[in-house]
Amino acid sequence: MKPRRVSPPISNYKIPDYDINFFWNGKKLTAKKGDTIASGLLANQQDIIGRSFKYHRPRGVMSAGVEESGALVTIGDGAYTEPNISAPTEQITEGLCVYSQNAWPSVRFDIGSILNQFSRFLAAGFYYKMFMGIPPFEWGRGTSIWMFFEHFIRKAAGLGRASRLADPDIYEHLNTHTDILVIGSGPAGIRAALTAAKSGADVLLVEQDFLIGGSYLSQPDKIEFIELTEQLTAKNITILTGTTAFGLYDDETVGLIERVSDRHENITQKLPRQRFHICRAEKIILATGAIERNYAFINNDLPGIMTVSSARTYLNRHHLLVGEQIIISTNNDSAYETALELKNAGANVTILDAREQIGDNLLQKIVSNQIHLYLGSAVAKAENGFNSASIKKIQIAELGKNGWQSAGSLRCDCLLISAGWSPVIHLASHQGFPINWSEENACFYSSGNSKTIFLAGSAAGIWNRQGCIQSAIDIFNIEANANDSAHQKMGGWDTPIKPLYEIRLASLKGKAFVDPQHDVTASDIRLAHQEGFISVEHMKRYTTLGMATDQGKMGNIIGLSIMADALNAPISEVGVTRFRPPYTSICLGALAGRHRQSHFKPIRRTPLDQWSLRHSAIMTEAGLWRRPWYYPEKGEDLNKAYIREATTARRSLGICDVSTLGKIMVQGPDATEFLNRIYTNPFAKLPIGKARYGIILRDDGMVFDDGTTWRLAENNYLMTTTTNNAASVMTRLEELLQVRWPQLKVHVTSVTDQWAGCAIAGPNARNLLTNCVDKPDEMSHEALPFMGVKQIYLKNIPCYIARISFSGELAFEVYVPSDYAPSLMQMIWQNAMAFDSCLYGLEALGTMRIEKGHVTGAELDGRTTIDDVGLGRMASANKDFIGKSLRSRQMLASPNRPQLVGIFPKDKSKKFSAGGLLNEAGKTNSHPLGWVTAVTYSPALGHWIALGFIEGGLQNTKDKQIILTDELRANFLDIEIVSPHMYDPEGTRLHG
Amino acid sequence: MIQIICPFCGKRDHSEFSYGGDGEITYPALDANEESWHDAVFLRENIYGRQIETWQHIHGCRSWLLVDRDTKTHEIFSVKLAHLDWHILLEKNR
Amino acid sequence: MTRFSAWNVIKNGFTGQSGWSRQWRDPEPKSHYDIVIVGGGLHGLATAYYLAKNFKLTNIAVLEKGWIGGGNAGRNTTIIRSNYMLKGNREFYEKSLKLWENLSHELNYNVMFSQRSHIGLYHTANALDAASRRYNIMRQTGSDAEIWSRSDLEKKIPHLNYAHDARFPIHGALVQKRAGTARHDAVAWGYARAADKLGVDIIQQCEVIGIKRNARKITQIETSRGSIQADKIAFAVAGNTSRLWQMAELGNLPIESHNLQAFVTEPIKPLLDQVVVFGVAGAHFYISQSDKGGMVFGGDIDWYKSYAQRGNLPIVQDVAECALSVMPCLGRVKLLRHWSGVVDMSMDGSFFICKTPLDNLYLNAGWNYGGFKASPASGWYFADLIANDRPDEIIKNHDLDRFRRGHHIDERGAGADPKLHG
Repeated sequence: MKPRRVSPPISNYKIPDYDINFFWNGKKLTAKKGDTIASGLLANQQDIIGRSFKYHRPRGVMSAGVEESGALVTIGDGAYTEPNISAPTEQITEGLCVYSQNAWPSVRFDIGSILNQFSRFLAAGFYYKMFMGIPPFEWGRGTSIWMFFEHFIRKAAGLGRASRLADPDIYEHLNTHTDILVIGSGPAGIRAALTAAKSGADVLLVEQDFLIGGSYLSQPDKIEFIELTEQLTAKNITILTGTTAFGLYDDETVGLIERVSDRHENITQKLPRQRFHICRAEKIILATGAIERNYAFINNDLPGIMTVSSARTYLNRHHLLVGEQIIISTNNDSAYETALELKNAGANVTILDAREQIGDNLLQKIVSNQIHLYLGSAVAKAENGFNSASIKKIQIAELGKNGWQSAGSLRCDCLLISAGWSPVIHLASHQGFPINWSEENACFYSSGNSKTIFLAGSAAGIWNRQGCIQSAIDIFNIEANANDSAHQKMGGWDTPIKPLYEIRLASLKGKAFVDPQHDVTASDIRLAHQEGFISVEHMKRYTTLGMATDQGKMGNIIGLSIMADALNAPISEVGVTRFRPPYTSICLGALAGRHRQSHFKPIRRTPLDQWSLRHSAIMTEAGLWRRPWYYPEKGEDLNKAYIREATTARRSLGICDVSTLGKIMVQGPDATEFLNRIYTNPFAKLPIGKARYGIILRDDGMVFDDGTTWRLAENNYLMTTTTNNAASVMTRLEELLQVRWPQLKVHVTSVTDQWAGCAIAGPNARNLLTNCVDKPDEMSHEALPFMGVKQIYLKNIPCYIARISFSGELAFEVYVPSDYAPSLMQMIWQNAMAFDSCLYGLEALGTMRIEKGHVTGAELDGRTTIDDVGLGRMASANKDFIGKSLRSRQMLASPNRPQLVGIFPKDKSKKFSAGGLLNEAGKTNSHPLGWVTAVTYSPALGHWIALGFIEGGLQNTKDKQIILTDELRANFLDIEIVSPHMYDPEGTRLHG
Repeated sequence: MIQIICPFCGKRDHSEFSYGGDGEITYPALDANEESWHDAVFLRENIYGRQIETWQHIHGCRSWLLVDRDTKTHEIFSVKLAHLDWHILLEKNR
Repeated sequence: MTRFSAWNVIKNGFTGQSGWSRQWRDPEPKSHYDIVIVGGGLHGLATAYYLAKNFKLTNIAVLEKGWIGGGNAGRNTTIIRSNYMLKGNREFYEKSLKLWENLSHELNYNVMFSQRSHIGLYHTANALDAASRRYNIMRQTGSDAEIWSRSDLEKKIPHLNYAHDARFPIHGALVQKRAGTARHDAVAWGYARAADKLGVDIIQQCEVIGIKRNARKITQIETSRGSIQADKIAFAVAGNTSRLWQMAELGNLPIESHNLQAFVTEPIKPLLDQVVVFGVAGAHFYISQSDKGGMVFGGDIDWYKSYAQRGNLPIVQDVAECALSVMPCLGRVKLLRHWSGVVDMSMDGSFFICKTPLDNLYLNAGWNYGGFKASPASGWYFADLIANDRPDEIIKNHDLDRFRRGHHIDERGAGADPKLHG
């Protein structure tokens, strides 16, 4: 095969015509601007471009489009490496580096091709039958023998090698809306866009190729196309080239990937490499064309064999004549125009037509152009040359009385195939629209949904250009005359197609490929049938037909027909597997867009974030929040810092950012009733100016959330929630008010982000705040008793203040509008200097709450009841609340449920960790009795302490010897189960 | 992408909404017995076909909606506010 | 039936593969069976196999409305692990893992169980607490677990995201080395072939279209291939459990049907040797590489109830974001296909293998995300339940009445909201 450039015809379709350089396996080659990798390599006489998946057979260019299953390459270097590029679809840019893949040491000489010699043992499904034990009789047990083989199988499998480096390019997401989306810009697509635009609708025309035109580009005469492109400049038509509509999703949503820039040309412009459009349309026209098929005959995968239409594309678009001695094997009319064009370009052309007669019109043209024509003929076998992998000769099959029979041979350097056309109905299939088999046209087709999704042109099975164009116009006509059924019929050839899927002569042996990329052969399909894998889904999975990177675009139907033949049933009964998105493979980077690395998820910063960082805070993650973890002083690590912080707070004064707590305003005449229903404890009589701790259950009676709710006025409450559940509590309240209890007049508003808060805890808390108010008695116990709430000015900053305590100390929570938070904090911190004081973070907060036995998410994990955590007394017997009924189910009331306890090590010098298990001594070989949820060193108690759960709680473990088993840290301790209220159980410190 | 026509905000992607659950569950009174609560909380008709379900326009107006949708095809037949009084008011003023 | 072995593969290489016959027969349904299993997925087929193998019951039919293994058996991401924590689940999945370990030999079918390690990443100091509890429980109950530090991970899985600007830097991982992946279709075919060999009738293209019953029992099943009577009937039709249940006029179940998507990239040379799971701040993602080379991954369900077997873009996007967050080198690796299956999501995220209100009906359902890895044990214990008419101690709380008792088996603590149990 010696492809050569021919001079382009003189026309006013101007394309750039200059040389560019690219590299093929490191070797510098020259191509023309506008070349694809496939045309560029062909022009440089590269016949072997890829190696097949299983047998490593040499493969050349087999097509000129997305159906390519031979010429797969890797492009780019380093972090820009992109494997498995279909060579006919990728444009060559200056300096592009292209590499062969799945071959070693080189694509021309690949050691892996030795597998081809063993292919008789590698039939479909062979790996299900061996490798599980020691060969040859599969002795042994377990998985180690398989995993030994697997190691080598994995290395042999795979195609290209992906980069190990992060993709440095940028990808964008766009939300696109249009009235009419037209997919495909061939004759039907362009006409559909123009027709739709006439009505004034906004039209988006997308084309996967980097040029618009579709099949126009492959035709020699471009006059009509040039005229049309001028009309496409209408304002309401937007054209996106290099844009693949990869999937059709619900409600007319289409995923588009637009290839925007190539890094070589645009790296300085900071353009994204690709854009992922989520396109919503009112109506979608699928003018996606059709794909020409191959058929199965021996060695139908040799380099030098491609589809007829691809040779036409290479000739008319890339001015590349793919061979000198060309044989065309066809079963339909579509190949004849190409034959004439190839002949005119200087090739010797021979046509084998499987049909026994063709139209006079065609016949005359062929004869007058000195093209040899064999009717009733097809290829039985292709043969390569003595020292060349490319095709040199074919064995002909001829239709005789008893079917196909051998009929001599012909020499050639290129074989072009057209065994029919498959409309591209993938997108319609994504939505599950019916797919039917047309016997007459030997193809599957779909009609969309006839409301919003339409197919036009060859995608609708229409084979002539005028018919295609008319079908696009008809879509909009039918709309005008609702019941007009006079739309274009499928078909359009003078002589009908003669189905041709396989030529198989008993006298000839060899591999006839159905899916060349995966090396699925016709005999694999027959073996699948023999072993009972007769449904298309089974056949696909057993043979891997159609699961390669081209997803069976060319080969699937051959497989179906061979199975149909084996079953002696029509293809329509064998059925078709559902196409799945994406239509062609798409980069994960494009789907992820900018949501990568630090932008993977938003960071929620409290209004005090920067202030805390300036005060040496080390931050930690809490869900999406970033919170101060501890504030180290010089030389302190986490442990030293939190112990100092907790000690200081208990001794004198500590200040903590609590802005992440969920805050919800609950307002309206029925607010009190509402709160009374959602909290387990009574809220009906909460006085104005008071806060109350409450617990919310789920409907199933498990603890959902807890927090304090402050009554600010008669019908105005501020509810606080845990940090983690802020959003779900809000949603829950809205659901209750809008769906379940619409008669309640209550409005809820999330103010989590609007209000910032800080906790001021310790014996000096009141003294500090007294220094900040105008009148000292505003902060007296009488003016602000325990659980008291009021509005107050702290050094002229208006705040809400509540005397509530999570630490167990005399403590206050002060809330201000978020914008005031840094100045409030600064003011408080300045005034705190007068005292022995510190800032404390999440770790010290944890220490103090563990000492007090206060529960958080570690204990309230969605599996705990209110009784489990010892708060059963908070479940009112005198009123109804959510979860009341189901919380008392039999197992939930069992005294043996794990209950919250405090944990001390017997030896007070010992340290231990959360996640350790609680076991009865000597019983450590089954499920544990309990586990440790949270551990801290307690500065107040002078040793390590923990909270945890144990079956039966404190009561039932009194006479048992309980040990802590932490295999992870190799820590096994005698422990003492104590009340969870480990420090100041009487709560005297709350009052200062 | 399923498109849901929010009565307040118009046609929006379903990713703006969060799915609630079955819209035709009648929750018993808070003091009702365990059995009736068990049935409401734990049992589902799990309809194959058209069902009334709740969604919240969580990244929009935060309304809870009753959506009539086919679980086989995802086709939506109607959307209304779950809060009946609001629904009536909105329809009246349309 | 020809035994599967390298010997016979080679022998058939010389005889043009002529020695292989149907892997399972294609019998006409009989009018009566001792046991009819509805559902020719992994669970139904495994159940049939263990009924025949463990209890010598062979007058059994498996009815499949389409083709065996066509539902979730062929739509999952093939992960096998036993790192469950709660009583019942822990033992059940451990049993399953043990069965997996010898399954290829047991079935004489290479299901390609590759014990390549399951890596549960964690990203905060607190997450280690949760991981260590799980670690300790797994070890104490006779399973394997390890904790790998960040530097262990950097050595063993070099291409994860160790970048400093990662939103959630990796701290470490809870590892189960005996966990891994298997070839999902092969499991269905392997069980079918082995069950068929023991005499079980696998009847494809046989849809149940009606159920006749009296107050106590199912008396007859109407199928698209005629009426069938059976002494015992077992449902194993995940995704469509409620439909069959209602066909038997049994009311409502604690199950919702949801869509779970799965994804595979184009094949690439080996890049990832383990199963890696990522879950932090609401993100949920799992990835491994198939033997063919495709990166296989998935994430959350589509959030809304669906029987449609097709997913939508928001989850595609979420999953791609997670993929890049875990392995930034995947940016230029291309998604080849994504598809979807209908899963039974239950009210506590755990399954049902239990008796039912009818004397001769048994239920296997509610597999949530866990169905594939469960299939051997599911078949094992379901067969035991059907044969002995009482549940094994291990699964005695995996019944429909557990919510009445308040015995939730809720690994996530998400409560009675099926969509949250992913």
